[in-house]
Amino acid sequence: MAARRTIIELSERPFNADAIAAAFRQGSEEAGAIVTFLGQVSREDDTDPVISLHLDHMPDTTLASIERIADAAEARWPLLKACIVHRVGTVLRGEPIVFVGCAARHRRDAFEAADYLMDFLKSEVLLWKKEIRDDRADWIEPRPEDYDDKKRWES
Amino acid sequence: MRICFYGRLADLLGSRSLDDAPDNLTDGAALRDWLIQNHQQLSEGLTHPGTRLVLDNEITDWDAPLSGAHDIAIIPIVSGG
Repeated sequence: MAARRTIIELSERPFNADAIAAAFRQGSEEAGAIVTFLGQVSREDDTDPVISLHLDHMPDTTLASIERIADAAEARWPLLKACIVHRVGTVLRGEPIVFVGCAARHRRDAFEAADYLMDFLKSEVLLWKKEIRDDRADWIEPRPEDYDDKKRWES
Repeated sequence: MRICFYGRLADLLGSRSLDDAPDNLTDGAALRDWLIQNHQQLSEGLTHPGTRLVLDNEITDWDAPLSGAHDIAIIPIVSGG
């Protein structure tokens, strides 16, 4: 089996997305396209905004669930390399929660692979997310649209 | 027998793990039944259809035997990232 070309990290601490993107570009001279995506913790609701998220995880099992998604993306698109950094623990509103980078010779492969990775990270990864607001905390389950997003890739 | 819980289940239990499950529970279903009887605060979470058994870092069916498993965990439906 070929070596995995995706760097994967679960981070307990805030990460510098610009530094990660710059490091990802290094050594990507063969790539004709580099797509990067950054997800941040949003307010969700203007009247009752999210203050932070807490992401619970099982270190080895959660990492393995991300590796399976990365392997599927590598099998589907001719990626030169990819990168997934995901926060765990407490993440404040406005902080980065996920970084995805995909480098390929052609832009469509890089775009599609990044889109695919995010759709599966949003619904398949072994993470449990709790939204913390001023007066309550709620565990979140995937929304129907998260499953719909994933179904786009079944054909 | 040490059982670990994650997400909502850990909140319901008020702890990451418990150690009081007897060693003679044969499979996941027996463990779930024992937990519902002895830790009733977990009932709602354990009967959710998305709740799964994890043995040695592999998600398995509830009828999987517990013998030989070093790490036993019960996880709620995942939220994704």
